[in-house]
Amino acid sequence: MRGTARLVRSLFQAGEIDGFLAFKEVQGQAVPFLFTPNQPDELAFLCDPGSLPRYPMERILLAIARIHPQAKLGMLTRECDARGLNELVKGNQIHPDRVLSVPLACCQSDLSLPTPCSHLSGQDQDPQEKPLPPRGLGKNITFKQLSALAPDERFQRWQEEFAKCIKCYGCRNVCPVYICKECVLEDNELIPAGQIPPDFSFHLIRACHMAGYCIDCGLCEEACPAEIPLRFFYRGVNQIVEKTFGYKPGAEGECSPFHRIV
Amino acid sequence: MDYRAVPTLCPYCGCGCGILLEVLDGKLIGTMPLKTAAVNEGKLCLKGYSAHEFVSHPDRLTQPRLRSNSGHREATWEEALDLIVSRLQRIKEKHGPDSIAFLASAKCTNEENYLLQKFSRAVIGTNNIDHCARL
Repeated sequence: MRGTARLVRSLFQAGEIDGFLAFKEVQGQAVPFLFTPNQPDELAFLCDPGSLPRYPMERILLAIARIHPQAKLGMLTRECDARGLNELVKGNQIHPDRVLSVPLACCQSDLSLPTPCSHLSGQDQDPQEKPLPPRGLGKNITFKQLSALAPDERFQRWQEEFAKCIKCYGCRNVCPVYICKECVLEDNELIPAGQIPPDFSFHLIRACHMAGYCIDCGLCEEACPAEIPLRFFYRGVNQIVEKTFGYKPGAEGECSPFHRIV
Repeated sequence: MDYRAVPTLCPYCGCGCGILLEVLDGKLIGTMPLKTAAVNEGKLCLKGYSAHEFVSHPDRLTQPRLRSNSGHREATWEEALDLIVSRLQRIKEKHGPDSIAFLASAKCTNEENYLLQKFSRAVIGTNNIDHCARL
């Protein structure tokens, strides 16, 4: 039995956890799965950490914890998942004593396999700055390029990006810090049903809700069928939060300034 | 306590996007795009994201319904299929096989669509078969 599976089995045997959220191989694909002590044989199909796909694991953990609040759950945790968990703990959604993180080093280093994550390298430090596309902003836009644009052109280019939106709600659906039971984006008065692309306000509402909460995991941008640079957009929003409040979402300890106000 | 994500195909259009149905304690709770699917590369449209919603929706029809003078009434599958068979036979005898047409679906499997065209050509005797994806 392989390393992670052995660790999980010993955690089960010691009675430390009631379930372990990780990836299981199903039909040749790695998909999220909750391993439990009742089905120890399933551990044979636990995927080895390597280049695993990324799913909003914290959101799945939250869905399980809401139904089973007393259970203690383990989770294979990437650095982005850890930041998401911190936000859920700070937002009083998950009790920190009921989660056991098993860290998975995933950001590129000499020791680990690369996964598509630009959190550490950062889009800003891209040495090969690519020219702006004729319309919109493109996927490789940097803050340096954006700030060089006149306000009118910047606004125009953002509008061109948001005009591609097909309103799939993917950015919200995969967001690991999306914890609301009701969502204003589903309010017919604010966002009329059947209107595509949605009004600019759709993205402004998303941006306001990401301020002080976005953990820069990039799942939204990965999920966007229209390839809108959403990660860049929310990074921009959180630069303002960091400058104004000195707060960076995802870290342990103090909660979001907006949470404190509420 | 049981959570699993079941890889399958989106039931809506003919693209065949890979989806993951999230099942918690035997209940469908959500749909996620399958990140490793070659067709949609981890992306979905609005319909795909709500693929789990109709399954246990209270408005979902779970039994055949027959139209009568007083509106619709629920019927058994046997009753409904008997009616379909007798009506199709009567129409074919009276007006010929080309008075009947079949519309297959992009939501069905290849094999189901194959069966339907076989039924239309070999059993009924008409080439009037088309599919909803041409709309």
